Amino acid sequence: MQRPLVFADGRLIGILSEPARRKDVPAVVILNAGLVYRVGPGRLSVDVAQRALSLGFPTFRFDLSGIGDSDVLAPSMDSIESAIVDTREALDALGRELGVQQFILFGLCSGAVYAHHIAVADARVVGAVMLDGYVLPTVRSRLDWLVARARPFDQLPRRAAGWVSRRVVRTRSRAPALERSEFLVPWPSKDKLKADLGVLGPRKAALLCVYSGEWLHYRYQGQLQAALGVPEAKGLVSEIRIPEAEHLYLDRTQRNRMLDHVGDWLAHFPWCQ
Amino acid sequence: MVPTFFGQPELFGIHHRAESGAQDGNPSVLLCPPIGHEHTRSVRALRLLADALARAGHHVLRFDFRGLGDSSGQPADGDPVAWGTDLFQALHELWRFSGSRPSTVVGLRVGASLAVHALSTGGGADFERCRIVLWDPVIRGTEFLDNATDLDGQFFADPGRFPDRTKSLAVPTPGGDRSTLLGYSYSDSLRAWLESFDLSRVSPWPFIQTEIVASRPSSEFESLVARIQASGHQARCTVVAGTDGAWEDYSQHELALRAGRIVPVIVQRLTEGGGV
Repeated sequence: MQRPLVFADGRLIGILSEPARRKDVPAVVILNAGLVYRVGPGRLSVDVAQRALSLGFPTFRFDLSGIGDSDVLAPSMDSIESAIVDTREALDALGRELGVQQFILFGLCSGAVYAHHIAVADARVVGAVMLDGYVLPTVRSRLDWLVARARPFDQLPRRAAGWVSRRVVRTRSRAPALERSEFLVPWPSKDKLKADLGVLGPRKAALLCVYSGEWLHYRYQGQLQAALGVPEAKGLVSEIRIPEAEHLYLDRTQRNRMLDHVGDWLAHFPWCQ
Repeated sequence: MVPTFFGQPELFGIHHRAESGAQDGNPSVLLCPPIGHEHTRSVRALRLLADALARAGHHVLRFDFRGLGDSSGQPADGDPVAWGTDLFQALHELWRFSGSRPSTVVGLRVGASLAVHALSTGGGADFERCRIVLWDPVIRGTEFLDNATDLDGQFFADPGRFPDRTKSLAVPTPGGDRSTLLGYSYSDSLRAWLESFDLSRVSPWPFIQTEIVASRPSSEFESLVARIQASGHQARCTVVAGTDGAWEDYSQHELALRAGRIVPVIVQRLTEGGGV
């Protein structure tokens, strides 16, 4: 069963779905992916909600301030602060509607970074699934990236000449790419992440970080834990790399792979035991 | 705004109650969204239009066809017959909510084509005195299909998204589902309809008044206006300069439709007396 939910004094809107047979599990709260409204790119958020619902989790997809059908927050504030305020409103509303007090957040791209900050800020969050969120480099990832950039090696001289040529004429010959910076929010630093794990650890909050092939600086599964270099990360952070997938999971095959990973993580976490 | 689910299968809609007058008898307007990737781009623009119409005294319902947006079902469930049924359910839902028979349908892109198709193929006796606004209409379904196919091809070959050295990792899996375009599935029946549908050949024309509001000039729009007028109905076309929807532009396909200039024109057309 699904129903619309208007909350935060009518400022925010979302879609609440409840499974036919409720289990004593947290609710899954799905955040906006960038500026895409609550259905997600190619209805990604709907698919995530349906997968979670099939496992018995209530789900809630909602629009943050100024996106989709939600109104702008006044006075305006930093996007991360605003996401925290809005999501807390959502958790409050779900607490009233469902009686649940534990939540798992789901976010893609900027939504993933928001999910991290919200998880740290609100003790009701017991887990977060982050698709193409923050990345920390390691020596291995940097080397791997350099090698990948150099491939194929037989074209290296030609590409080097092209690079020099472009530097000289100060133009770029590459086809124009989308300007993505407008969708991005700053990633937390390594020190901040370490400190955040110190907050999440005692709470036993778990993070699932899923990376597509498009997140080019994430080079190998386990890179995040290796970069953090703290033992607490091992028990809290799970990492999945799907190199064949692109950022929005518009290809159905790759989307289903991602959904399988997320479903498996949800189904096997302690709250479902 | 009053969000709701209605109909069977469950369709999502948002009512915008008229802010002036706010009584039964106010004109009521149904907004028909585009399909596929264009649906996502247009949500905020349709909300702005609905808000503006409500301020101008119209009851408004915007809704999602089955398989799109927040409505139940999968995109592959969509075809012109099912979506025609959805459209009539939405018209009756608007009638129930507003207390007045819907007087206007606003269709954006393929949403315009679907509205014309549904009302020209029967079942619309209750709404035969409606007028329609065709907002950047898709004249031939093949234009939309070809454009979506082209954008999908550009997406999966985007060097910004998939630099050459990693491209081999990022192309769709061989044997994967390629019936989707930019993440949206198109059923065989929907494809067949899009390949055959031609707005300029619809007969009889099912609306007493037709407004084409376009973001760029097109001789096809002018021809359609002339054809509708020749059939004894009122029609006109307004081009709103500087508002190009950039429907074919790959660099825009992920970005929200900017409708700040075109929305006031539609509101003015629906508010002014005397018709076209």
